[in-house]
Amino acid sequence: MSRQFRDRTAFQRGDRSYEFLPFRFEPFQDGVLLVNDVGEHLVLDTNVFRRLLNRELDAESTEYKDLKAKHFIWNGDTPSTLRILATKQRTRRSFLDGFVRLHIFVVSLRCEHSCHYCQVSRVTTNKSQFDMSVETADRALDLVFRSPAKTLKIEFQGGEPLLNFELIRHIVLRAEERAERVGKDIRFVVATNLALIDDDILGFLRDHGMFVSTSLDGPAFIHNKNRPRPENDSHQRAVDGIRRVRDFLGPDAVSALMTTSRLSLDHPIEIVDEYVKHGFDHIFLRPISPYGFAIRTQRHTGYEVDLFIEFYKKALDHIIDLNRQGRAMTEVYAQILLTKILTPFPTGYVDLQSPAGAATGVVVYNYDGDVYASDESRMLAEMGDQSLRLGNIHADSYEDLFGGELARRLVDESVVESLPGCSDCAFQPYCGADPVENYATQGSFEGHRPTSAFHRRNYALIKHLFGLYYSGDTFVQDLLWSWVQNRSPEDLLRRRTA
Amino acid sequence: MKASYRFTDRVYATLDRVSEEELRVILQLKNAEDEQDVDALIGEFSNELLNQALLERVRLETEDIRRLIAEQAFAEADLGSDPPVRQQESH
Repeated sequence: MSRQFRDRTAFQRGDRSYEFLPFRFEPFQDGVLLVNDVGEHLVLDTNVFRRLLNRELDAESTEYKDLKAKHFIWNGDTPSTLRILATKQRTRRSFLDGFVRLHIFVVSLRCEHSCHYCQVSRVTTNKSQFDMSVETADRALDLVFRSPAKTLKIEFQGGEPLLNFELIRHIVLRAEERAERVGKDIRFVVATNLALIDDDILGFLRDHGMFVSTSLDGPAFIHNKNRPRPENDSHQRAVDGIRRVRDFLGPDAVSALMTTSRLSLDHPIEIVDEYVKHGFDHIFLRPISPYGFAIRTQRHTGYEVDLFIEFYKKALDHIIDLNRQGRAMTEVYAQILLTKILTPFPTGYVDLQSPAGAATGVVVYNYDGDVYASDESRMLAEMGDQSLRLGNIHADSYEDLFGGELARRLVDESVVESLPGCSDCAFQPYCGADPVENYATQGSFEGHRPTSAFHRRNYALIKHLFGLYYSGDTFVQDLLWSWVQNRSPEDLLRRRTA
Repeated sequence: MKASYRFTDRVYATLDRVSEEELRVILQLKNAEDEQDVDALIGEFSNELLNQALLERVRLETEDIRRLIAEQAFAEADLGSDPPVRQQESH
């Protein structure tokens, strides 16, 4: 007895045996953007999408093979598929390994600037009232070294931290000694306006491999307006300071952050060009933080999120043009988002994680010993709202601070898989939650997505990056990949001409 | 319910269970000025209902496999190794 195989066409009507793997979708251009749980994505024609859902796809078609290769469908017979997805899922969440890695020490609340939106600084010479004590610093170090992370980072903030440089010196020496004893790597960053930097400080920073983070809001007319000093010279001091740090510590030892104010919104090109002028090859276009004095002085610095999105897009277009002309410049927020979109690797950026980085990736030790879940949490406290204070290092144990009710709530209420409006969003694997911003602007950790500036901003920027990536401009696609891979523009040009 | 939630920046939403199969949704505009856009709003809401129905279908079909993947991912986690952190990105 013989059996005859069915004709080939019988199999081409559709492979109804495939099963879906978890994914979400979003209308995109003229089709549909599919994103699976581990962040892999695929753009489908609407008709193909309909056939996918109706299980009518031809098993020999390119779309079918793409969907299978990118883990949107499977036949249930390949155990390695699950293993691959589990590995990618684990890699995406590996920022959780090691728990808190970034420890912020507010060594002084004093500052000689009086910035419009600064929530925390005090213009005073009274050291005892607003400087961290040696005893408080040592107790904070005890907590730092309870953290299971193998690599720790201590960041000094203020006020202006250089006003209490003797304490920074003490903390660095003590931390290095302890790190060596227990076999951990430790790195240090000073967030400073550079106005007070001198050769003695620079020598110490160089000897201890420390990194400097400063502010450069744009050209002088923006920077000086955002960061007033009696002499109206904060921009000149920042630029001079950047040059001195580079001369002393090397070209890559200083990075600059910009804060967007209402004035900035009309000057995206000038701001980017200012970074080029001073030799930076990275710029981080950051929205102003919606906290404390920033809320109080909203008439002066506040603006609608849509204006920021337009500002960001214009600046990004200019950055792309600069790269096209051979001038290397990376936009850091795009780099973070693209790393999440195009790779399974975590970025270490604590403000866009799920669960949120507050109290799981970062913690702040205030000058008075109070411990906060994030820098923004202590800003709220300075406005009189202590809701996000984890405790005090002299009164509470490590377990109480990091495992207490507040820390647990911050985690529970910042998992995007369970948040309304996030749980069904296609961009979920690329996004995160910010319970502190939600609390500050909307009154609850969970927040309300349809009216959230955080949601509106990130949704718009992620969609814009997808739009650029699929614009059909191969230079842009190569450039975005080069940001993810940290490749130089020379390498980019070499690859394009090869 | 998920479709209604997405419109709560513009409307007050009331949901009434009429029967096992029927849910009545009442959307009330928050701003009277938006009244001229009511037709567009109804269209957007209808599209969102369809989106949510499809999302729910995929979610239900993949519920078990999603749990399996998560279990496998966390069962094999190595909590002793840190991922690399980029200097500029930490906050």
